[in-house]
Amino acid sequence: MDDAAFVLGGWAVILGSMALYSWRLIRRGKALTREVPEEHRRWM
Amino acid sequence: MTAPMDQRADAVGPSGVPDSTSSKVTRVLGIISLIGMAFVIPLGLLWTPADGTQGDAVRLLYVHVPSAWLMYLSVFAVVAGGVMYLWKGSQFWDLVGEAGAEIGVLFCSTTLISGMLWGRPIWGAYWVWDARLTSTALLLVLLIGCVALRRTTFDLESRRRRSAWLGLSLLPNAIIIHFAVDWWRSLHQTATIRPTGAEIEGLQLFTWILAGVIFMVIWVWMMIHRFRIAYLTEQLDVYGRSVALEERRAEAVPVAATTEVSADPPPIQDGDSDG
Repeated sequence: MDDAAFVLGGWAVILGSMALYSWRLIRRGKALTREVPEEHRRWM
Repeated sequence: MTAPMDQRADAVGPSGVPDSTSSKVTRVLGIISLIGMAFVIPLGLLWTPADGTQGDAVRLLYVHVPSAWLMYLSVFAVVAGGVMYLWKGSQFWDLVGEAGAEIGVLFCSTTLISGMLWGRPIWGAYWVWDARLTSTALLLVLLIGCVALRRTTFDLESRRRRSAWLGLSLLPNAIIIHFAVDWWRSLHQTATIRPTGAEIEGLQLFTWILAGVIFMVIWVWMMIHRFRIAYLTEQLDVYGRSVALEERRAEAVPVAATTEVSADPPPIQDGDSDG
């Protein structure tokens, strides 16, 4: 593959960022859910 | 208030209340995303042919362009959230704007970085001060501003109103980004897929569309999770403080009682004893 470093680097940046952000969303969601009192833990 | 975007979470713990921001819908979206990516990655990197003009660098466009679409979609969420909040004053639309801003930062950044990595082999430079690139960089700054404004210490209503107005300021910039390649002489290529037809076909077109659809599914998944996080954060701000206050009061009562029962009057110190 020509320009493999650029191609693979670009894919890694995008997919890596999305995976990292998704993982962080799940972690934040779990941590926050535990902190909020149960009676207020409904989705609006 | 109605339940928006699959708000009736069913990822419940033993006590019957949600124990995470996941639900059946987000799990289904997550599975679709993973299966879709399992096809998009080999299609984009291996199975599609290299382009006659761009060579293998065209493979970057299978993720760069969908990333840009999601950047636009996030901006749309911020603008729509701002307009609707200013019109209706509802918490739902404010939270949609908050979720869109943070996800917009992600996709604006990935669009810029992947574009730079595509520009180096095709243009011979990572960055040029082209109208589209410059306006996209400005959009990233504005989106970061939207996220930062949400973290200020203004009171809630003031913060929501200011965020809505700042969100509206993204619209002209997004329009400039989209039409920059048509309005000005630009190094950036014009749209490959137009209402009049596409410049690519076959497996390349299929891969591009599949990547776009799967990226949109991932965007919806992210929006639902981020929306719920924003909602929980507000719940914590409103109710967490009162709970903490009650806990501190409860802790303070026994201490006060103990002090009343056992504390003898302190011995009077003779302040002049030293001298």
